[in-house]
Amino acid sequence: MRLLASILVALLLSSPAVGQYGQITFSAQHRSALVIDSPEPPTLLGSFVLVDGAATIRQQPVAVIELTTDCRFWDVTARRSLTESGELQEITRETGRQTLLLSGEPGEYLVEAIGFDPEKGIARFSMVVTLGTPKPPEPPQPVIPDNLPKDFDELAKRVATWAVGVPKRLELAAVYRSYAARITDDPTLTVATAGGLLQNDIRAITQTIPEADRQRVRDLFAQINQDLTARWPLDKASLNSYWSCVAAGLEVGK
Amino acid sequence: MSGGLEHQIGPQGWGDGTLTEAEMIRYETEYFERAAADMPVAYRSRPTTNRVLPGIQRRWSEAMERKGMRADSMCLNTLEEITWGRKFNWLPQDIGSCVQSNTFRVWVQRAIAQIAARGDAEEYLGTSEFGISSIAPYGPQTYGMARKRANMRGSDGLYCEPMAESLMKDGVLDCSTPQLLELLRTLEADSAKMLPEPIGKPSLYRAFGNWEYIEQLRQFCDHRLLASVKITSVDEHLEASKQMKTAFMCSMIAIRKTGTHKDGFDIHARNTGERWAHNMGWSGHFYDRSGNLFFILNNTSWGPKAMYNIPAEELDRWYKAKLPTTMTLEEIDMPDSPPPVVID
Repeated sequence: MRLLASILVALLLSSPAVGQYGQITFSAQHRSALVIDSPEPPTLLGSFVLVDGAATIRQQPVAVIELTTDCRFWDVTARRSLTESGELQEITRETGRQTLLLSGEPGEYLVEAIGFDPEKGIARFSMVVTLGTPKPPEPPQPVIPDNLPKDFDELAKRVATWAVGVPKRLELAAVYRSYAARITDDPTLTVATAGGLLQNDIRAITQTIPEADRQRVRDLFAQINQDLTARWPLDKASLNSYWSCVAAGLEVGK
Repeated sequence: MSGGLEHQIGPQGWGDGTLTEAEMIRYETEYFERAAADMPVAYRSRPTTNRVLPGIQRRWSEAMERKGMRADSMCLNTLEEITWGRKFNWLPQDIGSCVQSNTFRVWVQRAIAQIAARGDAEEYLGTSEFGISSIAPYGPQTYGMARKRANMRGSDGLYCEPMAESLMKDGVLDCSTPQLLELLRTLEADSAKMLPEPIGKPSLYRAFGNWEYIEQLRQFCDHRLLASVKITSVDEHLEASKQMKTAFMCSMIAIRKTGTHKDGFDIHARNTGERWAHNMGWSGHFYDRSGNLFFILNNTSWGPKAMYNIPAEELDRWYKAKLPTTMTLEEIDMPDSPPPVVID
């Protein structure tokens, strides 16, 4: 590798525009691999794979890279970002051909191949290869204002964190604000009837949210439900405060 | 009609008609002493907050002021009206079940005080007067269980102390209890108006009063009264009333109208010319615009107009003469509200 790099650097510095180039290219085929997680390496015995008792099998997406080149020297790399690399395992290699297996976390990988031949010069080829369904990028964390209510172990602040990426937060907050007021001002409401009405109004909003974002919504309510249930029972005055804190948290960043 | 009242005199039912007034008072006193010794904690006052949710207090005060009451009054009839949009229109009693028939009315009002005014995380038994969704418990079951505690069978009637003990130790039966509804179907007493009291079917009420059916339904009873305190003075009465504790009273006191207040409401007092062996409820108190204190005596088991405004000085005389046996309805263990979780 060090020799290859030195040659490349020398070539680039000495004749960067000579005009002589080799050929290098590859294709990527998406496959699914069965991965054996085992403390001991598995042993292949005929058509049997012997594994340790604690071994587990999982399936993960991979890509088979088929490279062809007329260069004498070449190297292939894969990376997700400047600091995250994909794992490339060589399966076969012969003159002008190499088969590699790309594995790693689901996401997009930039696979780059660079070749060098003393007679033909350098060659480059790159391609974005996607493994599995890439996770959407994490939305940025909101800036939490200092003036949020501190009640219920800083519930408002925690809701603001849980609600990152949840659409229609202001509409959801308005529902919570409305029922926070009604639960203490409307004598016809009990906690159960108010809870039922709140649920209906929230669902009317969440059902308009695209399915791709619904998991964030479900996660948000799972967190709130868990916190509320752990504090139960709360009387109406306390529930007024609680729902006001939820609303304040949902309003952060909007 | 008598005593200037705008309603008929209905059935009475304090005691079974075999004892004199003095003997009945002694019965109540001895029963109380025995029961309180058996379970002292149930007869101890539980000071509770009378802090009303501010939004409810505002509505309640405004409604009372429209009736000529001072804003700091605690008229539970008015609270019932702002909570449910009306005063419940219960049916009048048709047997001597007044100890149950008037008590359940103030039992419901106590539940409203806990849930609507104070804002407890509790639920009502139902949402209307009648049928399986009645807000009141099933009357005959309570009547029968209390009469069994008093060892009363045969003729109508009951005493207040066994009633208090039953409410605390037996609990009450929800009108939506499936086993009750099944029983009432077989007895052809399951039409909507047969709950919470089978008015028009006195034989059924009396059957429960003679201990039939009560044991097979006892296991489904719940929502006990957690304490009941014997009131012996007007000061104690006012203090309990300020904490929105309703009460029920057994006595021989009959009522007459003594006049009309300048604000338009009737004023009532004891009618010494008559005697009612009867139970009535207490539905709070109010101050008129001049600051005069009145207590609200609820006798609506004789019809919706049987609501009396008793001046504090008059009630003071009753207690000083040891005429009534009055027991408070303190905390009722109503059904707990579930946490309002959101499921997307």
